[in-house]
Amino acid sequence: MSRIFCSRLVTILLISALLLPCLLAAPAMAATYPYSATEAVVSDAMDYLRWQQDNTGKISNFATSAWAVMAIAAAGEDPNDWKVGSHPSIVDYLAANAATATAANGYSRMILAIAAAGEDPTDFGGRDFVALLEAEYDGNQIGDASLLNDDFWGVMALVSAGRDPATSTIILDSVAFILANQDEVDHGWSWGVGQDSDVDDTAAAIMALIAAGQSPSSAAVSNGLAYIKTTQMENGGFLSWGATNADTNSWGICAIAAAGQDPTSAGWESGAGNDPVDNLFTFQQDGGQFYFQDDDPGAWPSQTTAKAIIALLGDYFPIAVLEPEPPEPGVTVNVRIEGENANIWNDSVTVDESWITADNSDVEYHLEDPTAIGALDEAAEEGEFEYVTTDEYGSLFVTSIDGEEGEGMAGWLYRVDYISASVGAADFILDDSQQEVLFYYGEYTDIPLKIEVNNTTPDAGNSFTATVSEYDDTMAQWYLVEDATVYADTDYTTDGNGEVGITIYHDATIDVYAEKDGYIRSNPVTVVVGEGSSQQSEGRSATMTVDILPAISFSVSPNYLNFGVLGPRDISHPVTITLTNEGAWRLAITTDVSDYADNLYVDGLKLDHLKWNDFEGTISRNDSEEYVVTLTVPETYTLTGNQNGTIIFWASEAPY
Amino acid sequence: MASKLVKASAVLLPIIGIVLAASSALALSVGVAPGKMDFTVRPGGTEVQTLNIINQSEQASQFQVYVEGGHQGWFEIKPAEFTLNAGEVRGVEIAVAPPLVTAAGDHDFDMCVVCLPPEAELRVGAGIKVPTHVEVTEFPVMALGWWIAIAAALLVLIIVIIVRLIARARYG
Repeated sequence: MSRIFCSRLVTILLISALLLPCLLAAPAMAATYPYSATEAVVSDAMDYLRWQQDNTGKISNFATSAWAVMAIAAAGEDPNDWKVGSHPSIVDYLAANAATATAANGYSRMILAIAAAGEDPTDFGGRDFVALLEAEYDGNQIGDASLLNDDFWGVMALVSAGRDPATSTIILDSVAFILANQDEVDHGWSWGVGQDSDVDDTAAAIMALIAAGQSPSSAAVSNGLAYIKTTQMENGGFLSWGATNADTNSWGICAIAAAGQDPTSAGWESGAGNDPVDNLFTFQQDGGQFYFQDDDPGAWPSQTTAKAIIALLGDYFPIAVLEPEPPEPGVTVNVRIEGENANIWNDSVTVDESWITADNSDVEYHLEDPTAIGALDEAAEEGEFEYVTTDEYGSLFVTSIDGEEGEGMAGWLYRVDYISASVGAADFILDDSQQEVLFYYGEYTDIPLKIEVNNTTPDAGNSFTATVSEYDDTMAQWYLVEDATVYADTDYTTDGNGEVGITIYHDATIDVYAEKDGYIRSNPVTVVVGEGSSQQSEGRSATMTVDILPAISFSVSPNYLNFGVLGPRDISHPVTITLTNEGAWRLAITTDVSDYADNLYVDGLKLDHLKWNDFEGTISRNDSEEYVVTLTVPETYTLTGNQNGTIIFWASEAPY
Repeated sequence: MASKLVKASAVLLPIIGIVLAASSALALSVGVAPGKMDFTVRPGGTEVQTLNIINQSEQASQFQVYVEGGHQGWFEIKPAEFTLNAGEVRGVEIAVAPPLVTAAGDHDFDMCVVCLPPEAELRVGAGIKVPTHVEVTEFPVMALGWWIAIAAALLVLIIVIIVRLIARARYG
């Protein structure tokens, strides 16, 4: 009985031992493209990205963080939840650094990431990225006319932001521009007009065309895919600069998926039976991250990893497309409120019908049309300032704004497009032709000023001209104003032509405006000098910048030492190593040596003729020191071949 | 690639000797801020500060952060190992938590930040030692009083429960 039981037990164990590896391997074998976010190839890559996030919310750098947001969203996670502990999320990081994005490609990347995160690209980090991108449209295409890649990503971004590709002039024109620049011979696209085709840009062009409504079976798309196929190597990947790489494969796979094809299907296999997904996997490391190429992490492995995640999930760009917002009812108009001593409000509002209560009588007035006072009411709500009205003269009049009440002959008056109105603000019905409602504290005789600047983005040190003019109600004409004070980085005075030249020698963002006794303060014009400043300067403030060095920072060069070929009793030729102090403090230098070479380096390494553990050095700020390193091989040394070791140069603050 | 070729040729060399292959001579550059750290913490408490580490090399590098100077169990370093791309800065959270029974006093450590190139022959690393001072303050008297009061209350409660159990056992 016992023998039978033992025999059965052994049999069961043997069968289990045979089946177990198969059972364990089964899930991995079952996983096929497109992969789910829970499969190791994707989840390991996601874990790597999560590990790279720092306390600011950033992953690697600003651009990589935007790509990572797209990957996170593609994997079905909320990027707003990606944070280290209670620190800001990766979306918070992008918002806090929104000012970093520049040019069409920068705006497009932001829109794609913001939309993927479910946020509003028209109001993110204080910037309207859709308006910024649309401002890059030159009437024919988006951004630099010599570039094509800013059109590919621009089209994808506008579609992602909810613009209708069937009606958007910018998208329609840009698609025409893309189609016109498809290479006539190989049918691919390049990064620039007239340049050689490449897979990355052809893939982007295909995704842009499909996002814009082109059929995947259209000639442009199918020819583009055929071009990508011609670049396929035996390993299944796509050729780029002489070899395959993870980034090119990822975008190629995305374009194939966007066209509704399976990149692992027979049509996308090389002659050796490999497909681009096979080749993409060869770049995945043990830590889950994707390297650019074998043994080459590339400049931004996190960015490469984010793009690979999107490709493996079978997703493509744009990751998310926002629903277009229905147009707001009413009239959109700028409201500018000039107080006695300063501007109170200057921004656009949309006004429709309004309900306004007269403060003296508590009577509520329903104004069914968009009116000038309705615009003030909207501005007060948005700007969170108070205003007071009275109806004691038969209609609604404004008596106070933001605590400034009329006194003597001065009070609150209004103009529409600089023209004095003949009816009360509650009776002035606005329409789409009007641009600005100006409420101002002053007298009936005060004349409106207007300022214009011939260059709102001068370089630091380059002059620009401000011109001040006044509106003559009687003649309905604008006239130049002499002796008006123009406020920029300091005060200026206009000449007989109403002009003044202004030169600012540092990067700054400044509101330039004009004043003169008996006149209404002018509109402000924002001038961005050089790179501008993240915080807008008002009037005469100055920008301060400083570049702080790390307390302790130094470099060591080279990072490997080669003593050549040596034998027992030999002393190596001296090898020089250079240390440079790149920090703020004077450095004390010591060394540590370890090896897996039977103490070859521990016993035989010398720096400046001293045993390494007796060596001490100091390096002053901005200074470099060269140290001579030699290796002595003991007479009785027994090992042969390559011997590994490590020398660490330690720096700390040097005592004075 | 150059490194691989030289390694391969080294293996093929027939002579008996020590061969140390050449590799690409890149520079490592590491920076930290602040250059000194001061913690003031009571026994049983925790103070967290951030040590910013900057990879000023022109290539991605691997970093490790650890503490030297005893009482290593007081420290929690997050992350202790990571990769920084060229020019990248990462804040490492250093948490110091001396046990409740620690006597008041001053303790000095070195927070070691080391950047190493990949494993190969005689690699040259760059490390920075950031002097780290930990002042363990007296356990707050108020807090101590509360602990004693809570302990006394618990003791009384336990005695009452035991007395009642004994009484039940005796008198049913």
